Parts: sequence; structure tokens; C-alpha cells
Amino acid sequence: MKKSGKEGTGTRAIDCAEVMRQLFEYLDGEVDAVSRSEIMHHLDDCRSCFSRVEFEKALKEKVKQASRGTAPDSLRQKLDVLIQGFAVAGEEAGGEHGHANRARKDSQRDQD
Amino acid sequence: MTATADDREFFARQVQGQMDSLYGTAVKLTRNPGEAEELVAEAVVRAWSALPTLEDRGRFRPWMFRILTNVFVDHFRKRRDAPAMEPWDDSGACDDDGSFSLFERLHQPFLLWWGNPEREYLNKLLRDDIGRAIDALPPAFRLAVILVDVEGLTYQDAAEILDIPVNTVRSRLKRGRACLQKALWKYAGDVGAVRSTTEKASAR
Repeated sequence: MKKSGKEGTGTRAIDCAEVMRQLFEYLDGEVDAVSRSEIMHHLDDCRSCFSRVEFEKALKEKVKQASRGTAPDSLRQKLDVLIQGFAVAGEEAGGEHGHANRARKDSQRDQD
Repeated sequence: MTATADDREFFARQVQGQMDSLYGTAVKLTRNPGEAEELVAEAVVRAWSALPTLEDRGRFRPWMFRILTNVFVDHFRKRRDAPAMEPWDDSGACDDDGSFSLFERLHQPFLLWWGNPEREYLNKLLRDDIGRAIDALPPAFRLAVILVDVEGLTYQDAAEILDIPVNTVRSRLKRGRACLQKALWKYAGDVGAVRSTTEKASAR
């Protein structure tokens, strides 16, 4: 198992197991600056971990691209009309009273 | 407190800006474009009513996702027949403990001199395969993967949206991704993509 660090930089050397343990948090941007630096230094020297990180990064991007949706124009238009019908101060209320009142009851749990 | 025209303008701008994300997530939750439109519309109505409770308007995006999720749980799942109901928790069909790795299946060090099976596999991976693999995840795992991998939300935001601890987000992501990779491995085997990749590499 490879263990790498940069002499003189103060970066702690970490091994492959440590990199793999933090792999997805690293890719998700969830590790702190110190851990990020340690992982990056390890990847500079370890072909095996570098290959794994590149693969997971590419797969994550593929999943992202394949899962992105595009809202249909019909939905955009429907919501434009809906939102313009929402009551505001100084205007007559729109035609969505029933819908909005029902939603108001439901909204209590979203307020936590 | 009555909303102002400025509030409505802010709200409209935010909703329009998040529309593709909200709709894409709704499609993944409902697996039905028509229901997804209904879900987004219902969430928008509920969000408007709750807008006065949004203290930090910079947090509109995770707040809106939370409402979308709650509307899905409240209304849409109730419409399904009981046998078709999917569990909205850590149980369900995600039968991997988080240890499955596509890379380890594909990575064959003795072949690296002749080719790159991982890269060839990724090149052959179809959008439909990924879509099917995500749709096959139980909803709780599916949503964690969508929020973090597709929408790029932080673990903390995902935890707030799903109303679960951050560590539960971590475990759902770990198991969800492993199950996703396991399904992708199976699809690749079904269509011969894995075999042809490794055979091609071996033949070189």
C-alpha cells in the first residue's frame, strides 16, 4: 500500500486506504482543506488511486448529465400564470384561492 | 403578513431559475412526466404560502427542494396502490451494503498496458442505462443520489431537505451509489459491453 506525502510541506502522508475511505466525500467537496490537500498530494504519486478517483469523477458526471431534466414549456407557462395569480398587497386576489388555501394548511410542516 | 409585488417577483424569478432542477427531480421521484408537472405545481403553490417563513432568501433552493419532497411524500405516494408503495426509509430493494465497486470489477492491472477498460466502459455507458439504474433505486436512496450527484447540493442541505441526520445522508449515498453501480454492471453484462471491453483489451 502506497503512502505518500510532501517532505517539507507539512502535509501528512496518508495511505491508499485512507484515500479510499474519503473518496466520495472528496469528490462531493465535503472534506476540509487539510484533508483535501493530503488526498491531492497522495494522488500526485499514486497511479492506482488516481485512476479510481478519475473513474468515479467521470461516472458521477455521466450520472449528472443523464439525470438532468428540462422542464417543458407547458409547465413554465402554467407556473407563470399560477404565480401571477398569487395575491399580493394592493391587488385583487387571482383565481387560485382554493389551491392556495389548501397549500397553506400543508405548509405548516415546511416551516421548521 | 400580506406578500408584496416584490415578493412575488422574487418568487417567480427563483422558481423559473430552479424549474429544470425541480422538474428533473420530480420526474425521478414520480417516474412519470405528467405527475412530475403536477408535483412541481403543487410544491410551488405550497411554497408561496410558506414564503414568509423563509428567513434567509439565499436558501431558497434547498428550502424549495424540501417542499417538493414533502409534497411528494404527502400527496403522490398516497395515490399509489398499497402493493406498489415503496418504503420511504432505509429499507427497500437496495440490497448492497455500500461495498460494490464498478471500478474494481473493471480494473484489471494486467490489462492496463494494453488498454483502459474503465474508459472504454464509460464510453459505452448509455444514458438509458443510467436512467434505468437510478429509477430502480428505492426512493429514499434515489433522492439522496439525485440531490447530491445531480443537483450538487451539500450533505447538510440534503439532510435538511430529507429531514434526516447528515450521517444518514452519507449512508444512503454510499448504499445508493453502490446499488447504482451494481445495476450498471449488470446492464453492461446483459448487453455484452463488459465482455467485449475486456475481450478487446485481451486481444491486443
